Amino acid sequence: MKKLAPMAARFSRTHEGYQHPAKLDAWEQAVMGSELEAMRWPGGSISGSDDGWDDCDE
Amino acid sequence: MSTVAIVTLAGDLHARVIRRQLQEVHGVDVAVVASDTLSAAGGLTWSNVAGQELTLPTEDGGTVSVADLDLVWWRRCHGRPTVPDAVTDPQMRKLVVKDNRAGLRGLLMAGFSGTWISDPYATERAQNKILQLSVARSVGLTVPRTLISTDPTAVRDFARAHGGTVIAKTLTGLLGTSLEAGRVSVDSLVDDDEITVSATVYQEEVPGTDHLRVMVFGDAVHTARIRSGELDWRLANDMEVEPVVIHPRLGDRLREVTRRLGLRMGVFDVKLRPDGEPVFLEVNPQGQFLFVEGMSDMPLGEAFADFVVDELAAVRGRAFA
Repeated sequence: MKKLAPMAARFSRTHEGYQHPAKLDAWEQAVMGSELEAMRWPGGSISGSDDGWDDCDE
Repeated sequence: MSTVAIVTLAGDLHARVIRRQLQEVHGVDVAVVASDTLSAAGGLTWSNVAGQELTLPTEDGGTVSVADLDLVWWRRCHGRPTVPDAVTDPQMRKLVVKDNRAGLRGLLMAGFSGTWISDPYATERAQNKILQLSVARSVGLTVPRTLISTDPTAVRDFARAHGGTVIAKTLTGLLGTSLEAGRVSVDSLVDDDEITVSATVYQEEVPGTDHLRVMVFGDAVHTARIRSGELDWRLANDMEVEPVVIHPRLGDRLREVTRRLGLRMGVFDVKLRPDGEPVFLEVNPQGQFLFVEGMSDMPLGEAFADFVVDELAAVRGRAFA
């Protein structure tokens, strides 16, 4: 079967391996402390992404 | 004393910062309701039998009485809900999520009489990019020429009419996967099925490196300029963020978009063309804003808490009028 994805999938990126700016990282660390890593995707910022906040699925 | 509920996802940084600000600076009680962990929390109760208290679970393991609430910040009502592993049937897992969501919404809609930031249905409606672009244009904002389509011929014609390359981006988004805006050339638009399978936003590219993140909190407007060579700054490593003041006319128009969408707040993405013309891209009804504080030291947590306090004063004014 032909594999098909929507146009937007051409530009999909996971947050894996992404290092967000050090200044933002330091600020998030100061706010969240030791809980920070559990709250974010690997490398991702927890204060900057609007993606998919209206997702409905489990 | 006023009581505020923040409905959001567990561990939300924005909720923590604003709760701390409201409690420590303004003496406001704040209950955080984690909308994604309801199935493990208990504590959600509504009844039409006299004497039954309406309650919601709080993130710290307690409950809050809906009758005590003066304001609800409806920040994140979806996300990835937690369902106990012991519920193994996929259909029943889906039902757990749907029923908890309906319980949360229904309980607040029926039992809460304070003020919303922002109304849940206005928030959901305002999320639609087609509506946003239409409203933005109607208030006089410059918007990019846009096609949203599943018609391969229309998409290729649109790309040809705009120099052979246009921006493509999703109408919505996915939690955990960044779907960036990207360039597509007419030469790459050869697979009809890829175009037909889902509605996609195609836009003329707005040139330039300066983006504005504009936070409209009630009547207050706070703006940061994000400078990045990337088309989509969200995962850009090179971004520089600093506070700027925008022309009052732009601020008025963004406030008017917020008002027409029925929102009390909106976080706007605007791009500045090289000639200085601001071009509306989108509004996030519950957009993230504290990364701007983290990057620029703009006191946005403080500004948002002040906005909440102003909204609370308006509620009290109505109550005593």
